[in-house]
Amino acid sequence: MTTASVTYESALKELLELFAFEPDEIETEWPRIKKTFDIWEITAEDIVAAIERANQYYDLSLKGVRMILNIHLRELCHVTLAGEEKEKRIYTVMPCNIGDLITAFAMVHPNCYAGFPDFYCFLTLGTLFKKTGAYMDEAEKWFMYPGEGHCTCNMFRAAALQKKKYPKPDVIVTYSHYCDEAWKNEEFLHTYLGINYVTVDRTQDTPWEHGKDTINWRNLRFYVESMKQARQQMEEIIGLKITDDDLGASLMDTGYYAGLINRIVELATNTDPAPITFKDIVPAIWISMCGVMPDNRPRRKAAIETLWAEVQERAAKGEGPLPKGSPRYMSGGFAFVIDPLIPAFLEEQGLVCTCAEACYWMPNATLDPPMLGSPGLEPTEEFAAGGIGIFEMLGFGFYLAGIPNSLSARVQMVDKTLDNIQAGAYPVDGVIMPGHYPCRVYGTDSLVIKDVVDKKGIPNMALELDQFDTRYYSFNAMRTKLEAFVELVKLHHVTKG
Amino acid sequence: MVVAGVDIGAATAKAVVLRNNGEEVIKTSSLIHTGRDVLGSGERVLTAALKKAGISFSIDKIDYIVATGYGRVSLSCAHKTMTEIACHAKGACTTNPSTRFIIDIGGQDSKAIRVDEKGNVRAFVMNDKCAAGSGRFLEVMAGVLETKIEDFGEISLQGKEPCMMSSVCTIFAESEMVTLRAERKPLEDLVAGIHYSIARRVAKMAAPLGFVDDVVFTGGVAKNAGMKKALEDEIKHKIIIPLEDPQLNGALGAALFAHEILKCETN
Repeated sequence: MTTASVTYESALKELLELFAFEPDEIETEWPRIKKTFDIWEITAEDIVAAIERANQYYDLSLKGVRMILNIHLRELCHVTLAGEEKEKRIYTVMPCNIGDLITAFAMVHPNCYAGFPDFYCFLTLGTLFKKTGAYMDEAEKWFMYPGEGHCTCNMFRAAALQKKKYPKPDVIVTYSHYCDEAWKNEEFLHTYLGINYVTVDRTQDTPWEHGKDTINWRNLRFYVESMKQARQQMEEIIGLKITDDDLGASLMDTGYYAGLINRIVELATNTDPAPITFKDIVPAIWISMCGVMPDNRPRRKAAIETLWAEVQERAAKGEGPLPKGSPRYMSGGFAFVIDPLIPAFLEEQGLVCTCAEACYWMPNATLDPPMLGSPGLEPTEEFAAGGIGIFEMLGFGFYLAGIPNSLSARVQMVDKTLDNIQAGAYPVDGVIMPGHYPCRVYGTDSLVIKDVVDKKGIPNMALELDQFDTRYYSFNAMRTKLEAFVELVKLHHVTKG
Repeated sequence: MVVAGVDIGAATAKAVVLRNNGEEVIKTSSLIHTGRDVLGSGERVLTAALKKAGISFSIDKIDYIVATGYGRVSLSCAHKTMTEIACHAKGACTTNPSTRFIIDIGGQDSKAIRVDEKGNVRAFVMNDKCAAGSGRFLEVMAGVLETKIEDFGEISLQGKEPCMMSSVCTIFAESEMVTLRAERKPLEDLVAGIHYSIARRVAKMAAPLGFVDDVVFTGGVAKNAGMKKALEDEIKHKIIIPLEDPQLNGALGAALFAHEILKCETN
């Protein structure tokens, strides 16, 4: 399809078909999608480019991947139109680990939208349509001056709200985890746009070591109480309530989904050739963290079941995107969000990414039997004595497998994960650490993590980029580094042992 | 057998031709400014190196060509492209087998490479975002001080109290230099300050790799004796410049790879 020959309608139809919309769904969803695209000023040319990018970035021969991208697009529509379609709106923001808590409200109350708008915008408007740069520019003009190192996730939200691209929420729920940017940003939005916010405090107190044998019970209880308080505040602000059972249902539903992602990652890590590479699992992981609206819960389930079946079939047939024996690498830090071109390029060069640090962030993964590197959730005496309530489960799950609460916890997680993988049948030959330089959390840790990886004798490279903003780096500028990393990894693959 | 390595950098294009006549390997080289025509500069520098070797045939008759540098993908006659990381390691380790660490400062970027005892690259870092740690910084400052860049190294060695420069950006450093000049700081101290500014930046970039002797310095900036001294002072290791013209190290490495690959394919 060339831009000259395309109409808006034919381009959009092709995009929707590519993203596994059935013919009747295209017809019913068309008005909402068109309206959403009009609000975000997406043109026919943008759609044609998005189709090319999707084909370049992802293995779209996997229907499960296309079904996941389908959900991303639907969630973009949900948040964009939430102002006219829903009476109440709850947003969560980065750092996010509580998608299930807020989406429980939407699950129970049909007049409520709940979700993580920024991430769904990045996954669609950013990754596919490359239209988020304009909002970063806008935020910089408003109050987030360039050079001050603002979180680009926060920048996008501030600009999108100011320009009324998506509606103001009744409440934003934010979260502490060794980052002060989130609270300050929400306070600013409260001051200038009148948006209420609630904070879940995971406590920056004495670091939580990452393991069930070294639980800091005081911190865990504090965290659980903070989540309960947040729920109460949300209920007061929006006038809607949820029960512990509602939260439990939301959690279990996501737990099933996250559990299958675990299985897929385990299969990729333990099979040669790997039946799927990590860049095609990332879109599914983000859904696990961000939560979905009720109509997408069954779609999410169907998508991951489809993907799991496809990956198992490939494994049984000995098929995969790269040949048997291809060198493998792990992606540390953030998985590539807005520029999957990088892992796609590495795959073209013959490197397969079979695992990433990000896959261990999913708190609900611990409700499933333990996966590689994750200690898993097991009842402890203290929990048993005090009763395991749903908030305790949520807190414990985050504690063990959520985004680490401290540098030492993150180091421990990376260390253990790598040890497990390297002891397996298909160890990795390299680790790439995509950074996120405006991020207080991930921008500061990279040399420490590099040290951990260096000590294991695994070739590694840190990439300086912004996960949500491609204005200030280009793929071509990184090309030499990426090619040199490929040379290092291939050499290690050939010479190890 | 005639093989060649071409290093097409942002500032200059270099070529090394190795001619094996059965008795000895003759090495010739050439260097030109890259300019706007990246493809043309690659072909021109290669042609010039062939001519120096007394070879009359055209570049398409060369048995094997490896291209490296930022412009490597533009050289259509190249049989293979390799990163300058690998090529600099190859060149340095072949010329000086005790090499374990390479610092390369070119026209527009700088790199640090750690290698093992076999000359294999084990880790690397690059500064390819900012001109402040590259030869370009020296060029800009030479312009501000109205001094020939070829004289910069010797002038720097005479500096007794190198001026501290605080700017992290070449453009702002230019302004800072004008101010320092107006304060009548001695030229030698200004120039030495410029060298130490680059050396500090490169040392900070390279330090996480862990300096190991022998440390080899390559790239066009390695021809600057003042830069060598400033780097030695910052990294606290002696620096070796094994090549007569260190600017050719990348092209030499590429030519050596071409020789190896062809030998493998022939056997």
